[in-house]
Amino acid sequence: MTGGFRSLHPLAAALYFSGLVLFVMWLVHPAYLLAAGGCLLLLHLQLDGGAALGKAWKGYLAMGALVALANPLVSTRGATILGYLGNRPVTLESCVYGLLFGLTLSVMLLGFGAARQVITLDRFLYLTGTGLPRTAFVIVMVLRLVPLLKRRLREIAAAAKTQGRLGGGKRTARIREAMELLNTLVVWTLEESLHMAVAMRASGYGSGPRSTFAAYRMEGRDKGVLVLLGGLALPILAGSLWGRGQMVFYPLLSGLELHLPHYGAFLFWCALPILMNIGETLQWQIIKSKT
Amino acid sequence: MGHYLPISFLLVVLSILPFYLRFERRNMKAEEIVLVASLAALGAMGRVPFAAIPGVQPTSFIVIMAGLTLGAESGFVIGSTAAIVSNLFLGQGPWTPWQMLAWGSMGLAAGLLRRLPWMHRPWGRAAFGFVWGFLYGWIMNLWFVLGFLHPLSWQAFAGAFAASAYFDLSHALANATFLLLFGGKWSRILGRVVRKFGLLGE
Repeated sequence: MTGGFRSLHPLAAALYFSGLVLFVMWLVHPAYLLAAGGCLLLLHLQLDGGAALGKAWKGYLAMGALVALANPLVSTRGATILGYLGNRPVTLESCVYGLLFGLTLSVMLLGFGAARQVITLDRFLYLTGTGLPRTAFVIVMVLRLVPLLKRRLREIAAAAKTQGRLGGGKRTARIREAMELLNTLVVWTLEESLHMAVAMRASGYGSGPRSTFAAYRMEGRDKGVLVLLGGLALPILAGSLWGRGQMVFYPLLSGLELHLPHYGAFLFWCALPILMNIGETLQWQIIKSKT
Repeated sequence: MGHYLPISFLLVVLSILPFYLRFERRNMKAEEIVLVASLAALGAMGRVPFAAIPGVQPTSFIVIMAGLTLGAESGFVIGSTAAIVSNLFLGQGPWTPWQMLAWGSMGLAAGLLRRLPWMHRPWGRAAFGFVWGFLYGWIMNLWFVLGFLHPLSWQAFAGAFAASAYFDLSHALANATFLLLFGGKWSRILGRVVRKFGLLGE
């Protein structure tokens, strides 16, 4: 779908995802992580029917599993000993710690996956450009140069081939050949880049502040979402500083007590994009049925 | 308890930001900006001609040479921009800021040490690249160890370093080889551009 959460102003979307990732890193507690993970899975389904997730989920799970396995192997703290690995104790506490932090990593990766679809490249550049215009300009130039350099490299390789300079063969020979191509490429590119700079100056670069092409307007809805996010962030942050939504792992696992208002605020933060998308679909159905 | 994760993340972001703020404020000629972009682009796409050779990429070599010729500040910006842009193609994740920091610091260190005479000798440069092959891997291990393993123990660090040792070693050897074989040539190429257009670094 193209409307709904995806059409939100980039600033609000960036605030949403930074907050989400921060809270997920901070609030390592099964109920919180499951809420965030479930909402992000639903969001993935809404965004592209789960296509991006279909390709990436194995990697997300594998990285989570790595954390879950690594922790009991390196950590011997904790009071409840489950068994011995060689002569090192494996404790329940470190297993639970590993599982929950593995889940945290997987949920974070889910969040990054969704953010990548919502904050597309043009939005990312818009966000960078508002605070760091020169950096955004450099990133745009790099984005243009990467495919150009690839094309040039193919040209150089084709020329080298006709001269019989690309034989292949042993690993060292191939590295040397690839590096020779790169040497040619860097001379060509640097020479060209200086011409580019001269052309830039001729067309007025540096004669004043850079203006930007902003395709995003802050609408009433975006302002509303920003206010809502701010209003949710305050109690979530305050509660987290107070210690809510966090477990104690060592030496003994603490209980899983939930402070419902804090959890509710967090859950609302997680579910906001899904609710916006559902609202958009409903509204569309209503408009459609009227005509 | 689990505060290492968000705090380390914030600290890394906060340590990258000043370099970009400085880059924004600094008085730079158009040539220098284009040069920074070109070297970052070369670093970001440097993996392509080497795709057939596993474990070898010239990105670190390019970042080190950039730091040596253009100075510490540009070295940091070139290294970290190469990291963020290659991740725009490969996928951003929680590792992005750490990668930006690792490659950025590599360029920064090369720039800081560039006045030392041994950094202009092939063996000195190769030794620098070898050390940074490991340092890069260790910085990247930190995000995993600090964020996800608890309690922090020397076993946790030793385990992570042992697990990455093979990759770090091949990275270190590739850096040393590139710097030994091509460092002089690139130094001449980049030095010529810098002189020709009157960019004396910082």
